[in-house]
Order: sequence, then structure tokens, then C-alpha cells
Amino acid sequence: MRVYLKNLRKGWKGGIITPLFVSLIVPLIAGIWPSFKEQAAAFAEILKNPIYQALLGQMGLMDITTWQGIFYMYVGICLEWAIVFIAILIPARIVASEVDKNTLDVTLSYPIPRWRYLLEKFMVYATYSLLYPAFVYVFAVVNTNSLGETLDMTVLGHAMMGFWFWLFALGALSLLCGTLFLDSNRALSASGALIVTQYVMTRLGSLGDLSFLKDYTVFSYLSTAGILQNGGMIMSDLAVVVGVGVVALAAALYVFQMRELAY
Amino acid sequence: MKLATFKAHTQEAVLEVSHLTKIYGREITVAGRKFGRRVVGTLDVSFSVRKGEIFGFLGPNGAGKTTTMRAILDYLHIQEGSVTVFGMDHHRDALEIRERIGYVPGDLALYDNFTGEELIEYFDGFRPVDREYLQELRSVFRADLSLNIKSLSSGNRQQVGLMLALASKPDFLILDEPTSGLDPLMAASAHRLFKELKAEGKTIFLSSHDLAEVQAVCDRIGIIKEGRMILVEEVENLVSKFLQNVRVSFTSEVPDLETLEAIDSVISAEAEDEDTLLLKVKEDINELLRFLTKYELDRLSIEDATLEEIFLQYYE
Repeated sequence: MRVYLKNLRKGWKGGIITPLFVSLIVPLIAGIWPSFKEQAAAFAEILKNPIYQALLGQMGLMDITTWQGIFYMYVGICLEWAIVFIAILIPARIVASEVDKNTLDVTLSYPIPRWRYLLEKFMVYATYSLLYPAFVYVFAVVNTNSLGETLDMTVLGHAMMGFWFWLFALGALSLLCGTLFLDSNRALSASGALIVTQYVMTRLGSLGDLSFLKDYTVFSYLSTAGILQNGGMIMSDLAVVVGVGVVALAAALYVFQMRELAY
Repeated sequence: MKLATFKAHTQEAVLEVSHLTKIYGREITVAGRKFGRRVVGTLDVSFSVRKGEIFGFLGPNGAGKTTTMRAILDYLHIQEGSVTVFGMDHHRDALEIRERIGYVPGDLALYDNFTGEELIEYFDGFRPVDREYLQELRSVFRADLSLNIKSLSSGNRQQVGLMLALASKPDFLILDEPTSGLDPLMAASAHRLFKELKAEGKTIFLSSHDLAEVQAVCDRIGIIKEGRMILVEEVENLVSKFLQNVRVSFTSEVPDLETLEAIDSVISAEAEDEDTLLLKVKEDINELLRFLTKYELDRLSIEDATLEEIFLQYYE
């Protein structure tokens, strides 16, 4: 676990500050909620427009006249966007940036299997990814109590776990792109195309005729709206998301172990 | 006693490269048109490095030195041939081999956000550092290990790279231009360390463009050119055996240069003045001497060429 622990210690600033910054959306919403509450009904009417519904996806179905509705709509959308950027930018560069800088040559001359090296570095990403849902959860508890509102904390916990599983699965797909291309620019392009396409397919899937597109994107499984509707974790969705993540991670480890490092 | 020890070491090959062929890229022919490009990395390269010797690996840029080293380390997939290190297959037994080797790449890059000390601690977990020897290395090299790598000069980074490779006192060192960027004093210290390691029975395989370095530390050299190994020879023999400068002054008739160059062993012939010729002769000089008996000579001098002249001969 040397690679994991060392990189965990070395990356703590970025690893903590970024999730903290993203999760500040919760106190921000809590800050505007008391004044927004009075106009919420009118705003909800505007959101019934099909274009907004398509843009917001299942989040658009939330009842934003309640704290729970506004919380999940804003936090959900904000975290989805954060996940898109994080999953594209970080895992794809785990190996590719080392190739760019040429640091792998020395490291891999030591007796550590390549797959284990990669796995430990991915685990650092997976660990810091836990902080996004964790910080959001803590801020949600604090702000809900200070506002005197109610929020089902069990469902919130499951929704936050859902976000982490997305980060894991999409991150593993992005990692696979990194190991396939071994070059930051190409890895980021491939990872971006893969993840943004899925996000766009989810949004287009909100339009009636294109709903079949949703079946092929990770974002359609373990969605916050789905977890809220279900009142907890949806095990079949969990299996799909974890399955995608595990297969992509295994493929990335295999590719990195077997491929030649000709650069 | 020392000679006996050296001979015992030399009986065993640490590295054996046999018919190593590495071609980069692919060429596909579709409907008569060729797509892609094949670039020769190495072609049928064979040589061995014996236990307890320092083997210099030389060649012009792009000749295949780094390709060979990266193939030995199993970073590259070779198309043909085999590589064994300590008698183990370089691919199948890569992890066992790496427990016993140290490597300094040509284009050395270390983690910028680590200090030298952190790097040594980090890699200590993979291949344990010899603490006593590390202290010795710290007294030899001047790089400040408490500083972040990004704040070090390229020469100091190279020193850290060398310390990392040497710190575990590995049995076999693969060094790609190990003293590039070092000042002459540090380079000399590195050479002394290499010789000390050799005296302890360690084996070193190094590439270099610094001929003085090669002459100072290497026992044998291999020269690679356009992916092919064109020479493997003891450094001691190289100077006397491979190239001699012959200066001949004639009293009357002077043979024409083309006739001289037609002699197998004569590599080049040039007129120094109207009576004197300067010839570069490779290996057997007797044929030339027999030819010269047909002429009246004023003076004849035969000198060993410098190592630089020999290398240039092979590089060109």
C-alpha cells in the first residue's frame, strides 16, 4: 500500500479543497432558500417547460417548493457536473501524466507489478472521491437543522453513495482511456467523449422519443431521483454501475500490465 | 588474488541478449497502398555482459541504445530474440529481476513534488536501501536531498537519480548516459563509485557519448549503429587492434591514393604534402607493408589511433 499511502499524503490539498469547494453549494442554497421559498411556486411553473425538463432530466421532476426538492435539484445537478469534470480530468491522467513527464521509467524499474501500481493510484482517486458525498452530507445535515427543515437522512446517504459509485464507474472508464492512449491529450479527449456523450444521452433520453438512450448511460442508473422515488438504494442499478466500474477497472489494469511502454 | 576474483566473476553472464529485434510501428497494405510506418529499433542484436564487468554501450543518437535498454527492462515488446538477466527471462521473471537491478534512464525524470529524501524512502519500500551505502553516497554527491526535486538543477537531479539507482547496491546497474549533466568533479566521483561496485562483483551496463568516460571505466564496449551491433570488443584491445595511423614519406615516386584505398585494410588515405601520405589502417597492416616495399621510403611511422578516432570510424 506504499504507493496508495504516499500519493494520498501528497495529494491531500487538491483532494480535500476541491470537494470542499464543490460542496459549498449546500450552504449557498440554504442561504437563498428562505427568500426563494416565497417565489418557488412561480419558478416551478417555469420549469414545466419541456426544454427545462430535458435540461434538468429527472431532477426537473423535483417539487422545488420544498427544501428537499430544491436541495436535490441544485445539489444533484451541481454534483453531476462536478462528476463529469472530475471523472474526465483526474483518472485519465493518472498514467498519462506520468508518461508525459517520463516518471514511469524509474518507478517501473522497481519490483512492483504495473497493475498494482495503477490500482493503488486509482484507489487514491476513489478515496478522495468519497469526500464529495461526505462533505455534501455533512453540510446538508447542518444546514437542514439550522433552517428547521426536514430531509430524510437515510435516503440522502443512499443518494450520496450513488454519486460515489458514479465517480468510481466513470473514473474507471476514464482510467481505461488513459491506459489505452498513454498520452494526456488523447486520453482526455477519449475520456471526455465517452463521459460527455453519456451525459448528453441521459439528457436527450428525457425527451419522449429518445428515451431508449437512457438505457446505455451510467447516469441513468443510481440517479438521485430514482433513489428518492425508491426511498433508498436500487440494488439492480447498483449492480449495473458497480459492474461497469469493475469491468472497466479490470480492463484498465490488464491493459496497463500487458501493453508496451513505447513512447 | 584480485585477478583470480575478477576471472571468477567473468565466467558468468549477467545479461544475455540474443538476436534482439524490435520494430516500432506497423505497415499495412490496402489495395496496393501502404499505410503506417515501420521504424527499426534494433535488428538481430546479440551480446552478453559478464558478471563483474562494466560494459559500455555506444552508438550515435537513434542507433538503438535506449531501445535495447528498455527492451531489457521489459518496457518494450520485442518481435524476435530473447533477453535473459541472471539467467531469468526478462518478461516472465521481470519482478524477480527488478529486485536486483538499478536503472537510470537517459531522459531522467523524478516526481517533482517529492524531496530527494522522500523519493529514497518511497522506493525503499520496493527495493530496500543499504543505509550504510546511502550515507557514503550522500558524502560523495552534493545534491541536497531535503529539497523538492523541482527546485534542483538538472545536474543535481541526475545525482539524485544515481543515488536512487545505487542506494540498494543492486547486483546489476543499467545506466543510460549516467553522468550527463554532471560537472567533471561529480562525473569523476561517479566513475570511482562504478569502479568500486565493479570491484565488489557488481555488473554495470552503461551507455555513453563521453569517450573519456568509456575509456576510464569500461572493460568492454559494444557499438550499435542503425539498430545493429557492429562491434563488441575489450577496450584495451580496441586501440591497438582496430585502427592505426600510418604516416609514410616517399623519396621519389608516390603511389596514388585510389590504389592505396583499394587495399582491404586501408580505410582512408590522404596527402599531407606532396611526398607524405597519411593512412588510416584497420586490423591487419601486413598487406599495406607488402605494398609499400615496392616504393622507396623516406620515413614510416605507425601510431595507434585515439579512441575517439576509432569511434568516429564506426559512427560514420
